[in-house]
Amino acid sequence: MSEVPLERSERELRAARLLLEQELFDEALPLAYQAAEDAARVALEANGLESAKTHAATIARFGELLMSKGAETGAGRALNRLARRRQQVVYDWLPATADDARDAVVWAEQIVAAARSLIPAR
Amino acid sequence: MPGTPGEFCAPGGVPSYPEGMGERKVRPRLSGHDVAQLLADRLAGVYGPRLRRVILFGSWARGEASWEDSDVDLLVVLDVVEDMRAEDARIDSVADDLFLESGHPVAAFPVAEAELASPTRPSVRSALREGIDFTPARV
Repeated sequence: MSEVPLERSERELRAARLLLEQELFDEALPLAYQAAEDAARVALEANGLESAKTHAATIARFGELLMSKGAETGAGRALNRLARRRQQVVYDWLPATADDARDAVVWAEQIVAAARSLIPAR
Repeated sequence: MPGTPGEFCAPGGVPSYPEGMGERKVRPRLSGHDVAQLLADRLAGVYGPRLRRVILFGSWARGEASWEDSDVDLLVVLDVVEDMRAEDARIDSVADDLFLESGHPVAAFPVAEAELASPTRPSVRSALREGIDFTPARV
């Protein structure tokens, strides 16, 4: 684990916000997802859980971690939803609008905050 | 263990789904096939006759899914799709609930019935090639 565990996610979030400001919605949304997924991986590793190999496994294990800690599961729902939105954009199913990208950044912020709350204090 | 189209093919038969399952800390192990059937049943309550069927495709349909590492790919076939985002929003909460209950990320996408006749999107073509149909258990 790096010295500042969620630094990468925070950087990706900043980049996603910049892309949103530049109205690059299809680019902002996947980056917001990446920030969220990276935060979920950090939370898993910080709790002694094996880092998942796939997007799906990371999402699933993060949901399990939230429930095992008795945490609010909204972040798990948000990660599942964000993954679905990312697939729609990446596979040209549905391009992202400003609202989609804005929602994605908000969800990613919630997921990063939830991940932070799951990292044990050192 | 894929079954025939329309068959509920959960390993070990049809599971029971206790009330308040969303509150459980230890989740039952639902398969992708279970998730597909549950999605069909629950969306029938949202859409009524507008819902034509749910198609499970991807690794679960091909029998290649890992219980730990696979999401559940689904097409939600509707009579018409005039506003994709509105349909997405209707599907969202059902899909998110099923994610938390099953532990499998649920990727469910709306598609109009007419598109199945001449699919242009690769995922729709894949679904038609390898997919398994699930129809809601309407009363």
